[in-house]
Amino acid sequence: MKRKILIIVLGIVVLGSVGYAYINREHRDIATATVAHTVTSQELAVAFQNNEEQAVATYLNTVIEVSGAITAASASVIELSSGISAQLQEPLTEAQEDKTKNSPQVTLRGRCIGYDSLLEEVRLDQAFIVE
Amino acid sequence: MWKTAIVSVAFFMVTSITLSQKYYTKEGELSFEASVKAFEPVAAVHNGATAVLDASTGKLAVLALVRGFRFRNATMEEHFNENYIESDTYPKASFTGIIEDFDLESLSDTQEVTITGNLTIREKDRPITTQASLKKTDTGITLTSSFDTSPADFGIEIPKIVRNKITDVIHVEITFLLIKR
Repeated sequence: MKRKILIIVLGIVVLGSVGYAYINREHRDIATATVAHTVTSQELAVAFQNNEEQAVATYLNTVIEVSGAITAASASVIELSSGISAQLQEPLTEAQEDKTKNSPQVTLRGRCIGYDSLLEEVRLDQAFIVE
Repeated sequence: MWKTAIVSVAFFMVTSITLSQKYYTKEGELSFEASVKAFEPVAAVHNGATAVLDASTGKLAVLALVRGFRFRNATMEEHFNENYIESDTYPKASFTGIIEDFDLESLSDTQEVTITGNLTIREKDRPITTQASLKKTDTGITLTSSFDTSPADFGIEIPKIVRNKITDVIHVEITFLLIKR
């Protein structure tokens, strides 16, 4: 009888721990997550411009690495040619910002959150520069 | 005759482009709050909303890619995207409308305005009217506003299990630092 109670209590504790762990799990860390797609900024932009629905199915919420020429850079947003706008996870320091503005090309890793039809750009968030 | 036509069209296009003044942001802040006291907080923040204001007409367009809403709790964020909004099918939330009686010239310090338009979530449109505060800054115009909306209006079904942990009416706050294009 005692053994039965022990097993039941243990079962509840295990289920409770699993439930607690599920509810409180960490956000995906883009830096350590597997990169689902590696593309050029042009490829990515064209994919969304040609068939947005398909591009959404392929890229939405995936971790991607996109490389291209920098068209604009601020401490919090880097934009690549063909219409890619990536919001950075961590703002750049002034030194990093200057260095970025003077780089011809860069590779960013981030999460694709979709296509901004107002400004006609593909948007990424949680992005950082891949060294 | 053709030459006159082409010149007139070109002239018209040039003047309309120079006359329309666009202010925009792609780092617009949107936050919503739906917490019920004593239960875990239900709130999310979006720091990448796009807003475009045509200062010559007062027309305002806002777009938020729903995946950009960040919750403190990862599981809550996942449920929001997969079960409530279904963001894989409806990745965007948008607003199109107008700031009533908007006059860029008369905008000095802080001004209270009324914004009317349509809010579209999960491809369902709902008319909305709300008050907003406009302030002229060195770089453009700051727009702050808030409004309340209901998930039911957009076909969002909250399962019975969690219904008492989420308020029926969601409160949304907006802050846009619109920069002159």
